[in-house]
Amino acid sequence: MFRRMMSAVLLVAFASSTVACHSYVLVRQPLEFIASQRPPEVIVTGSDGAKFSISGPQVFGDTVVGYVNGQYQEVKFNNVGQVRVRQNANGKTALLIIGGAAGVVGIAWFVSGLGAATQTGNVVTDCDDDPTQPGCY
Amino acid sequence: MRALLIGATAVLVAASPARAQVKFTVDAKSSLAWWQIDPHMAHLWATTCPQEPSWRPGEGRSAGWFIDRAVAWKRGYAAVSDTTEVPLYPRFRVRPLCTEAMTGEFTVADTVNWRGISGLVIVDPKYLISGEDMRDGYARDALFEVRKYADMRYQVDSVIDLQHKGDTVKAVAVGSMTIRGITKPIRYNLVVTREGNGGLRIRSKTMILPDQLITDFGFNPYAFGLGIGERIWKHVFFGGDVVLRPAAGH
Repeated sequence: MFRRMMSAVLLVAFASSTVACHSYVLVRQPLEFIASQRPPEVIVTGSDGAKFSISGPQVFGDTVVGYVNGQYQEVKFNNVGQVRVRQNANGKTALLIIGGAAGVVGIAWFVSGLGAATQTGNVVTDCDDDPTQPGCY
Repeated sequence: MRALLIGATAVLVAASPARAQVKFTVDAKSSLAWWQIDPHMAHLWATTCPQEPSWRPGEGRSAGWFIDRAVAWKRGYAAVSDTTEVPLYPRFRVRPLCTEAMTGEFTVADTVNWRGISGLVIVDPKYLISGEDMRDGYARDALFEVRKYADMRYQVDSVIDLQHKGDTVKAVAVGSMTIRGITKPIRYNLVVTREGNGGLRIRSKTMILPDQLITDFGFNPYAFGLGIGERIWKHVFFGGDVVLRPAAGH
């Protein structure tokens, strides 16, 4: 029973630790957003469906400029389908914190119980030391 | 910086073939000067136009700057000499967005044979930005000593070794450079192309050895620390990307 609980706690902790604290959200007015907010990076979906990241984007007229895979690029906005920007994901962040805390508590609980003796009546037996003793099976 | 002057020289090269004297002035909003150390160790370069979207600061930058990880992390801080990527972040398109860090004027007496060329470009070294505030402050105060030496000057006396290839002219500018009040002869490699509205764009570059900063231009050797003291630096590049416009009435 204890080991099942422990496994569940660790599973939740692991799952929550793998979710990012950010998510990419669609920007409705990309040119205005990039010009005013100066995000460090945007994810662009081209009109041909290709997705790429622009690092340090800036807007000049109808053109978005920045670095794509280490190469300076100028992308006409006509060729851009969607623009997504990374934002903090509060829900995921909260889940991460709760999951992490649960994991820590679970591990502490597990560690504190290691080597605990099994009490049978007035006799204390150590089942790890001798599993054949009465009460250990 | 020298490049600026050189660039002016290039103007001579690209100007229309008229025998009348032609005068050009530096378009400060569209012009920039830069320096770069080799090896740059992911942070040793600066420009007077950090507003240029193709430019990026190096590692250890101050807040508010963006770097491109694909480029910046290629070699990290390693002292790997590479003189092929100079400048590391060239300008691909001229935009009038730079800090007005330079002024200058050029005249050409004979634009057919390119004789009688003279010009001067002045750069204010306090506008050279690397993207790290403490480093820039140190360069201004301890290296360039801008309170004492307010400008760097590039005098162009002539242009030689002209090579025409389509709309592009390659040449060498001969003149002098003044840094920290000390003037030394210089030569700059130039690439000249036409820019809109009768303008000329001159990209220039020159290289000196790190020791020359001390022996030729009087920089404090201790201020450079290990870069020169331990001979980590191999080359020092200076350059410019200058746009010249015909002066009023020309």
